[in-house]
Amino acid sequence: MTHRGHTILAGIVFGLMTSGVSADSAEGVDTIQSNALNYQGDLNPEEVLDEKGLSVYTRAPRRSPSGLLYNIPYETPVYRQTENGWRYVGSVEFGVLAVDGDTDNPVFIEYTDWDDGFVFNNFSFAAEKPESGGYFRTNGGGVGRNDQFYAAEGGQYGSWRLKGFYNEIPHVFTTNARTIFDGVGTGNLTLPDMLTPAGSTPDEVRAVLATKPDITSSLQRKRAGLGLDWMWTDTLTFFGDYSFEKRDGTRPFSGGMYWNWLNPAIGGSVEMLEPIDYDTHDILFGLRQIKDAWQLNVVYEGSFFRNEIKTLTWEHPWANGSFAPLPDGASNPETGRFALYPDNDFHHLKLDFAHDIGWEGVWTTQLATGRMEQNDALIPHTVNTGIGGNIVNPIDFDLWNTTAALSQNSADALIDTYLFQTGVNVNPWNKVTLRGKLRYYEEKNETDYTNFNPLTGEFGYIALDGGPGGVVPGASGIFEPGVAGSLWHVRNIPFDYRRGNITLGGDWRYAARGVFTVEYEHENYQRDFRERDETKEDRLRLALSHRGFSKATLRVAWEYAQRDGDPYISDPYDQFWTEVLPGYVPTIPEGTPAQVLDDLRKYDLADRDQQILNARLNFMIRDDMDLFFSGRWQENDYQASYGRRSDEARNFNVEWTWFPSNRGNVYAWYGWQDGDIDMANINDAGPNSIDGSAGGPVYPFDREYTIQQKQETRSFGAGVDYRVRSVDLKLDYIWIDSDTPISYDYASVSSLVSPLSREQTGGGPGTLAFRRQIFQASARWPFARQWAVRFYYRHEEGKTHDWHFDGLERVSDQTLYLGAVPQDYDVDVIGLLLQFRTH
Amino acid sequence: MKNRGGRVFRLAGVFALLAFLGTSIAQDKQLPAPTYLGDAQCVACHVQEADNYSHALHARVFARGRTGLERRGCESCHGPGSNHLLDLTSKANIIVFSRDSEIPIRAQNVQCLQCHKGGQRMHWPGSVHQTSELGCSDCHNPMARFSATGLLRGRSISDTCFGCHQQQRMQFQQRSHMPLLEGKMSCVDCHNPHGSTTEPLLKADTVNQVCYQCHAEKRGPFLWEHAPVRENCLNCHNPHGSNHEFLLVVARPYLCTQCHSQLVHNLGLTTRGNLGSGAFPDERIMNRGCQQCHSQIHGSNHPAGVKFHR
Repeated sequence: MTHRGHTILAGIVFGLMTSGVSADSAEGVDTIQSNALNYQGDLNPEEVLDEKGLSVYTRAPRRSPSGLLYNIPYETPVYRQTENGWRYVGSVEFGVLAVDGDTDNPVFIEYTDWDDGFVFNNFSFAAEKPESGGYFRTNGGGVGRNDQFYAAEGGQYGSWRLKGFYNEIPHVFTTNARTIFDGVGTGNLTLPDMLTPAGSTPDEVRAVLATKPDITSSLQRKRAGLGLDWMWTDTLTFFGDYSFEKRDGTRPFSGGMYWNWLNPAIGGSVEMLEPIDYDTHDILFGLRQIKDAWQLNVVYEGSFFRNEIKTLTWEHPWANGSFAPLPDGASNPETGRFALYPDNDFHHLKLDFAHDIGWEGVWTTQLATGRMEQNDALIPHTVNTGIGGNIVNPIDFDLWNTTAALSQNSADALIDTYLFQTGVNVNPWNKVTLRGKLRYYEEKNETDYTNFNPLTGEFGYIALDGGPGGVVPGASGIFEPGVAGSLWHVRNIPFDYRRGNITLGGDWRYAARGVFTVEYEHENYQRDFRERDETKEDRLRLALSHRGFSKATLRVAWEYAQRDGDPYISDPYDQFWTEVLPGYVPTIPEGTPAQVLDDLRKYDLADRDQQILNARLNFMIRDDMDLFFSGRWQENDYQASYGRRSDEARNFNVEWTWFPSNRGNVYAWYGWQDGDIDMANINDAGPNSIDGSAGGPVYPFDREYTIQQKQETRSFGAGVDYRVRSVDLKLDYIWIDSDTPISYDYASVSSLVSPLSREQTGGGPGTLAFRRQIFQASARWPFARQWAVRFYYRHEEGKTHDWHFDGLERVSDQTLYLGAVPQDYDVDVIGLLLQFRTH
Repeated sequence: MKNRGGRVFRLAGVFALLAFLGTSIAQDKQLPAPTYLGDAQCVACHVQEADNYSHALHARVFARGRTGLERRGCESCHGPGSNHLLDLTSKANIIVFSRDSEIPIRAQNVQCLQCHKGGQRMHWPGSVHQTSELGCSDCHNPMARFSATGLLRGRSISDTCFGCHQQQRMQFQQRSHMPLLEGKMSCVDCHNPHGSTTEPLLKADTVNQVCYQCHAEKRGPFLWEHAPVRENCLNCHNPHGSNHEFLLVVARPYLCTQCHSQLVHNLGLTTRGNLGSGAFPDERIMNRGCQQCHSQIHGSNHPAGVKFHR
């Protein structure tokens, strides 16, 4: 290698040290590096329309086989030549942004850094040596900002490629949260001196909150990666990617000690901020072999998640109270502790194989196996010490707040996955394709854990760090043999499933530009430890793709599916509860009272009649103009009296596009979708019977209620991307208006959680509403051959109404909220940017 | 329950009718066996095409001419061009990849698959895009640069997908959405439009495995699992966007009560009267709803996290 070659290679390596990889359409994420100010055709320096268009033979834009208009291409860059055969192009854009209005609204800055001031908005550089096929290119943007991104790639066309990226994504949850805690962002939240753990009143907490500023809760993803593709031969490629992601920040979280809704002076909960400090390492490598008659992919994927903060401990401000006297020396629980997400490892090995077969056919097979596992050290049942509980059931926390009180020291949780698919696709006649496919997927959960305390010889756990155990006799979470109603969940449920699908179908090319497809699919779904052991679904799909109209392309598909299965057992979990332990005594002589409503169907397991209709119609109104209609209708009838009973969703879109010349295009679109979900349930009347049927003693009809959620969204967009004289003009407008009204009805006041009148409950909690409009304008004027100035303007305004926050006070009895109430916003952004390019 | 028999037959009838529409096209024409002419012959007429093509990726790869196919230049994709000279207006004498091409889509795609067979496209045969008769050039155009990467028809991956999937464009503008329109992810982060073994064209074995690619902390497994969470994230979330917070499909607490009745929890109807502005404020409907206490709803690794409290 020449000295110059070494220099180039060093440049590539340097570029990759500060940037990373992009995945492909088959594996991995990171398929795009950009940000809101550099997203798809925002007039960056490299995006200059070529007025000459695609061809001199026709002024009209070209269309794809389906009739979609191709855009106007970007102009051919003029490379600068070097003496050694390399040539290069490059560009930068920089300037200032001024932002005015509600600039810290979390909707506005959710994933974007709009800070005003200097912005190094983007850069790009590409170099290549046509003679050897060597190349290097890099680009980036938002330099130094929270949404910055960089990508680089170098190699030799057709031989090898080294690539890398660095990308940051902010995610802002709220900017108006308030918290009483010190230590936000760590795993230890403490109360300020003015407040007493388990002894503060709502007024005292309010007083402290009044002194606290609004704070932002957000997390920042920082992701970098490196990858190599090496075309070993013309038919064999090796590839490997490594990426590392750091996630830092906080997000809203909450926990409690006992129900506060039951009694304003009892229990209580606290909304707080969960610390986020995650590291994730992802590895992917494999090979692709492509021969004339067969192809092979072998891919290993590993993901290793590490949480640097394993627990979150908080000092609880509220006195939990009790319905029974406390034992001597006991106090209300002062501290609570969460186990945050555990580390986990993921391994996945996949093999894809395809072989040409007769009748112009192909046989494809996929084999994959994976493992998800974690073996984090378990934390004790409670962080509290001393004596807790109440006088009826005192609890010696010191026998539960140590890992010696656990039946095992670590989680040892493991799920294995298996996937097998094989299928054939043949064309016995020119006009007919036949295919069949068999797919089997299994998740096998090997996790086995029982809550048994070897120190006390008891089954059970300390519920909510001792909260309920102090409030209500018998509510500690610890199994008490011989005591009626000591019913606790003490063994984990290793949910897993096996899912088999067989599909048969075919295409009939009834015309050169028309295909009619018929497919039948049968699914067999077997789940362990769910309400249904097995469900079966039969699905028929008919589809038509017709390009034969001179001015239109029509694609329409209709599916009809029916699902049913084994008898539905509403509560199949006895074996995981203390119900099966010696000494268990139910509260009523007949047995354990019905825990759940027998007639309620969980909708992922329920019988279901489903219909889906999908249609797309593209009218080519003129050579340079399109009108595209699309729509979707889906209906699910779960054939259930309670639970989710049915849902329906409808969607319609129309889009108009016009390319009046090779100087640009104009577009407008409108979208509408609505839907409704119908749900029903029955409030329980207490543990008075083993009969869990609807209308029975536990779930009588006079406690029934129904809920309907409707949803309607309308969206409109319009824009112009056009060159007026020498000025490139880009205008875009987007408007969205979503309403989700929820209504309910109920049989009697007994259906409600509180004794409210019809006037007080109304017909529903309200309507969730979200409206936003964004107007964005860019105008670029090239004032010199290599220089241009771009004026940028954005107006964005939004309104969010969420009834969850209606009348929400940060302190409501003994419940503490962050008060992160959605706010309306109105923002203007003005930018003046200078562009330079080497050509 | 509704009687669907009539509707089923009506819809089937509509399909049958549509299927017999437009039975024109495709007459075999007798032409001499075509021969290769070389790039110079093509460029002599197609100057603008050649200029556009010159800065697209294929031109750079083909410039090396490592294989016989690459050395054929224009004709490696468009096929031998001699018959094109016999009738310059015919779209049947040469392989073109546009709307007016008289070459069947399958044959057009075969040209691309000469080099792009296997790999990411292993499961293209039988995939919904293949059976819908999409051509490679419905999404890609290697003849010019329309997009930053990927030789796409649109300005970006998402822009290309939204050309047909307009519903998703609207959903990504909703109150909660993934950062797609902010340029931080693309449709192809989750979907493989070239075919996959997992519906709908997902890049992993299951929906959840797709989600864990970015939400690795939720992979677990946990001591205490929430069955619908372990099985399918879409039981509670709409991945493309939602008018609720956190991409939820139903407002809390009704999201939970559509599946849960639970003795002694007084799991009745929470109403407007239970909001902060109501007569009986109840934390189960305000703010985070049920997750005010059941905060570890994706699974818990705490020995006392049985009900996802810890």
